[in-house]
Amino acid sequence: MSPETVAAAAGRIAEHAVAHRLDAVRVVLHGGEPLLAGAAGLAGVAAELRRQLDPVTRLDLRMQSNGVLLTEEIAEVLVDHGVAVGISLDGDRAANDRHRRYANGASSHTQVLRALALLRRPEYRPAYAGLLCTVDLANDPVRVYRALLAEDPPHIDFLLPHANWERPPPRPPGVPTPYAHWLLAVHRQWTADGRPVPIRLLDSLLATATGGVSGTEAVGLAAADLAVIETDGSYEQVDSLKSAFDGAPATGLDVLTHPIDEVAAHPMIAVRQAGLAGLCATCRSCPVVRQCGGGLFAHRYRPGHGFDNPSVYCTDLVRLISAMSAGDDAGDRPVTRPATIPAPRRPPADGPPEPSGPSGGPPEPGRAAAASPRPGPSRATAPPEPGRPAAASPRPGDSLAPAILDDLGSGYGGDDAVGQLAAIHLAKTRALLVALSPAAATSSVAAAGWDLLVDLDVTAPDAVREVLAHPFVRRWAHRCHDRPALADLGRLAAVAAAAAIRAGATADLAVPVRDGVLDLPTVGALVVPDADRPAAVSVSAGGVRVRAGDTDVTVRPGDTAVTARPDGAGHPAGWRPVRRVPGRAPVLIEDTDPYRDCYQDLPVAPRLSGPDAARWQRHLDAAIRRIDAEAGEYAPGVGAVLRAVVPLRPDRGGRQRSAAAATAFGAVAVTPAPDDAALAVLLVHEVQHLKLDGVLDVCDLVDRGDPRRVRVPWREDPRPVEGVLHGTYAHLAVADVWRRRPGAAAGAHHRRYRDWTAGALDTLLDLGALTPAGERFARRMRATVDTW
Amino acid sequence: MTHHVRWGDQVDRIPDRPTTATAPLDDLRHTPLGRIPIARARTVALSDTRTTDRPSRLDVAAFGSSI
Ligand code: SF4
Repeated sequence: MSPETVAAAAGRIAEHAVAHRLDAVRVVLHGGEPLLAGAAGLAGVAAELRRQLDPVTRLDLRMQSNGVLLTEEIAEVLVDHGVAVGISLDGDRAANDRHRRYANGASSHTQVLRALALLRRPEYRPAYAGLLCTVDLANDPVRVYRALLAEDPPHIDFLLPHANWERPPPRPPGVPTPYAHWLLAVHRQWTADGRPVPIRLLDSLLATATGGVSGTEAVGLAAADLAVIETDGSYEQVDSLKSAFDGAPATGLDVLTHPIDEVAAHPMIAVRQAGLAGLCATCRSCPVVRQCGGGLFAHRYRPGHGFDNPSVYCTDLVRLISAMSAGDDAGDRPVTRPATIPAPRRPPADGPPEPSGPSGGPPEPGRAAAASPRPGPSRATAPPEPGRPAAASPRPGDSLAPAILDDLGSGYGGDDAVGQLAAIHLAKTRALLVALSPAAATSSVAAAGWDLLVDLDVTAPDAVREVLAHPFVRRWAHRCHDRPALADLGRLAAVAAAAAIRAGATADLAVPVRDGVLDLPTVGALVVPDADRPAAVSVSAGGVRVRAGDTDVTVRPGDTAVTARPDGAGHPAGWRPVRRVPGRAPVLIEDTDPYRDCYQDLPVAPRLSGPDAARWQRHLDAAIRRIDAEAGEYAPGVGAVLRAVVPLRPDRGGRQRSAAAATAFGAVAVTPAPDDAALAVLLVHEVQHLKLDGVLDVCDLVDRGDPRRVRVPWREDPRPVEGVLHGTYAHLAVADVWRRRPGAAAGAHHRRYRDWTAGALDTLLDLGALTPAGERFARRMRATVDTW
Repeated sequence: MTHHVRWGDQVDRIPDRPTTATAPLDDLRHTPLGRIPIARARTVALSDTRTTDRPSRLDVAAFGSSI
């Protein structure tokens, strides 16, 4: 597409967004193969779209690709310009090779997997939109589903093959609804796995069954809201119509001459905006029409009748929808029970009987109050007496003492209080690991890692503690529990190897290589390209020897140098030792951990260059010193809680951004800050969030059964009560930091954050959504604000 | 030395330095990993993970500022 056509197309879309006050517009670059445009070409298109659309609407910019030509350079462009790419993948190698070969017949599967490995890297993950799979009856549905799941996609979508009444889809003799059968097999396994990843077609059918909205044009009654702009600037209807007859998608309109409203008025698009009324008589009287919507428009075509027909997949759609709705999708196989963690390999001799796994276990005692129906905790309930736990707890000692809660409620928190939060984090991580250990027994790599970790916990507890306190060890363990079907249990071996290295122990074990990188938490990462199996790792006094594929290197943790084997093999440039903030030994600059991309829409930076890392080290050191000097009440929190700083990519809008995640306790993610003064504010803000996360780990402050959303001055969207409490606690500290700085600008900042905090506290205290402990906590915050 | 904090009609005495108390979940830190009862670990781990009958906690808190 020429730059002029791109500019004209962007202009038309922007014009349409303004005229119709659209909150969001999705633009999908698709093919042919958009990667053929190369990094510069894609950058040019994306930049022009963003230039014209970002000021007027939220641009959701996507691309559909086979991934074969994806490079690091292109991945950088995609992340920089906020482009998310969907990759076409039909399953494992055999499945994918049926329809996706090069012209010379060679398989493209290896290249596609290489592209997916690139997109899974934390620094490129924001560019990974998901996988698009075309159903082929020749492929086993569960194998296909498993192959897709193994690529850890954010989303999966299944497409039915192009077909219409003139060219019906192939159906094996005697099987009336083979496509329904195929998709129901996927649905069964997906349900049994606890739906670990959204599947657009199935999610849409589930959503429309309860009156929700479909997320795909393939099903549902939502108005068609997409048009195609060809490379010459002509508008077309959706691509799939090409399968109906030659020229079917043509509209005779183009971006240079016609606004998008004229495309929307085109009779063939207008009929697809009429919902039920736009369907044929058979569909209109169909009992599942609200879910099916007549299927994909292109699948309705019949020569002589146009598109005024049911889908050629009608019988499959009826069967699929009916079976899913009735929970009667067992077909010829029993429905599998939800995945649970298998029985322990080595049950502790003194342990009580086990409950069922994470999805079937009992509610956590002490959290029961959170599920109470509205109205929430009674305002008439007396505050807990000093000396009593703030929340009901399964055991004495599972909650913070009132004095500690009060100390933290003031917004500050002395050494004892913040030290307890770090201790809670360590206990939680240990609990997560122990709860994972039975499942680890099913993998020899994970089991060996667990056994080593158990031994080291006795012989070298300090080393184990150092590694388990790392924020992203908990994040990883949390994700294993959250999505058991995708649990990366092999990382237990990496955790154990890291502990062995820190302990100075001797150990040999296999450690998985993930997307070309062997990562050892708190130690460093080794790039191991082309390793297709776990690396053999030998830890000894001489260093850490890693053998995998063509790699055979010995690294000495702490050294930046790498000793290559005498035979010259190895990748001396591949060792990425962990970097620390000088003088603040526990604080890592975390730019290698594979689980660090946990900050929603905030993309993490790739491994920093040496000069960039040095700049971060200087800034962080200065910022922490500044906190010590100017806001000493927050210094204990930073000292006890902050264990890692994750560099984020600069914000496209130029804002300072920072984030913290409860499941990565101890880590703060932050964009490059202009100076240490700005960085100090961001650190204090995020450490406040972490402090509150630590409190909420063991104390219920908010009635989580309360569905209300509350408007706050610092966000456009109404927030859940816990979100308001979080924002208030963080802004209290930000207001306090500005209060202590000289100058009119600082004063203005202080007043703004103080007013936000005071207003939100009034709201929280009036709302009736806090538990007694939460109310007590909020009143302590109020007392601090009142002293200013 | 103590100071007083007033809420509602109550006056509570809050020590300036909280008394040292054992941090919660002490057993999980001091029992060797291989001897922590699985049931106990699961109960504590459960509060960190998704459950069907209780909405999950707010996980990510992000901050954007023009400072
Ligand atoms: S199931 Fe068949 S008849 Fe019913 S809406 Fe879908 S295509 Fe039309």
